Amino acid sequence: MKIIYILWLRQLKRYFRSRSRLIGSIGQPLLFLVALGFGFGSVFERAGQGSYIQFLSPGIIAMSILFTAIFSGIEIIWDRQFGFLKETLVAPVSRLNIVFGRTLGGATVAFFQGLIVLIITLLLGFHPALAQIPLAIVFMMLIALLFTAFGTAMGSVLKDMQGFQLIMNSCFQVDCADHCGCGRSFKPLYHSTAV
Amino acid sequence: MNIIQVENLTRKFKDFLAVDNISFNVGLGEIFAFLGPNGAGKTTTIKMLTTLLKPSSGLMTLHGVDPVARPHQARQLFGIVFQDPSVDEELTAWENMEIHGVFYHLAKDIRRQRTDELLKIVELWDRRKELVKNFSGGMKRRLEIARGLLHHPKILFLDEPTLGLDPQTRNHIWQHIKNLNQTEGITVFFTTHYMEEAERVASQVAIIDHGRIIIQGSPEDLKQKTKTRSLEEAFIQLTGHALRPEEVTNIDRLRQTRRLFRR
Repeated sequence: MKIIYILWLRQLKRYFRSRSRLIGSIGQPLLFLVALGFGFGSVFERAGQGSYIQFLSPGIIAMSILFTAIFSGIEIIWDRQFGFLKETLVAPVSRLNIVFGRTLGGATVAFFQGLIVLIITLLLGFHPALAQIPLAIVFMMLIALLFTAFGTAMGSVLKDMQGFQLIMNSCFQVDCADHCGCGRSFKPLYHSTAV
Repeated sequence: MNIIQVENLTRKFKDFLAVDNISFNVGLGEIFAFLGPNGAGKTTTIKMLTTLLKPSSGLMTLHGVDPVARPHQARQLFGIVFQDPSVDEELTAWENMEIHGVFYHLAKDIRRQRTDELLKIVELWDRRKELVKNFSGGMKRRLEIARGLLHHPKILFLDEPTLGLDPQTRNHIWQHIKNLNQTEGITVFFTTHYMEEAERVASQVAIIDHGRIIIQGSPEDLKQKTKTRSLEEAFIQLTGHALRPEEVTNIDRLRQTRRLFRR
């Protein structure tokens, strides 16, 4: 338990100490919201589709969680060769504890990032039904955990970053647009955004 | 008494024989230099000894423990400084030590007392609350050495510990390692490309080439056997002048990317 806790704490410390990561994590969704929100907002409303910010916000929140969660896998590839992971692999700790600690840490960071974006969208005019917020938070936690676990699993198997990015992009294209229809029921990001 | 025993150790990667039936022993409290040109099999041997890689065949023991059969027990016995830095740069020196102590199941008070002691030895105690990313290359190496010794290991593996450091820092680091060898009675197993360092520091030397150990003995023995004046001359006489063919691996590409990001 102590091993899992220390690895979780490490991920959190790294996130809060990296100013560029913090600014980047807020900046990108903000750019989407402001640029697309104010750019397409009036067109969207004129077409009778309602408030554009209401439509866009859940997707932006899910996207920010997704990217942070999935790319924690890249950290593993980097860490395996140059960083901290090598040290953990020669330490007398179980591999399962390492995976749990890293996944929980990555998921907490991704969830926190989603929470920041949620607050920004609320400030910019996103008005979800109050009763839906707890459910949305639960789903934010779930997708953060699921995609961090997925990223961690892929990062543990793959050895180069290009391969990782390629596979991840393919996975999310399947989630976003199911051409063959075979995975219609398993589209976690699509369903979470709908909730 | 031998603390490291290796018998007929072999490691194959598909058709490539990286380590070919090597045998050697390292005595308790010795400083042992494992030398060889690039791609000779040094790092592969260290990886096998430190449980990061399983051998294709052969036997090895660390203080009587087989690292293949009992990896958890073997991991308690050694500390390691890798070729590439492995400290977490977003954490402080103290936090890096703390995490390592937790990994090795050290009690809180012992962990803190030992951290204080080692950071003082490697002269980083005043900088313990600073983020490691602000440290110089030599300071990071010193921190890694301190971290590797936190759990009182019997063996310290150093894979090219002074690579890319200036002569002053290299001297400083070797001085610390020699002190620790004497004060803590720790056995040191290291690789390096700096022959003058090996000649000055090591009590025993083994030279590996094309996966095979070609000679072993004290630096003086090696010079006498090859009738040369320095270990570097002996090394070149034994391994030849020809450059070794090397392939660019994914790891090398990652190294290049890392260098680029740090500019």
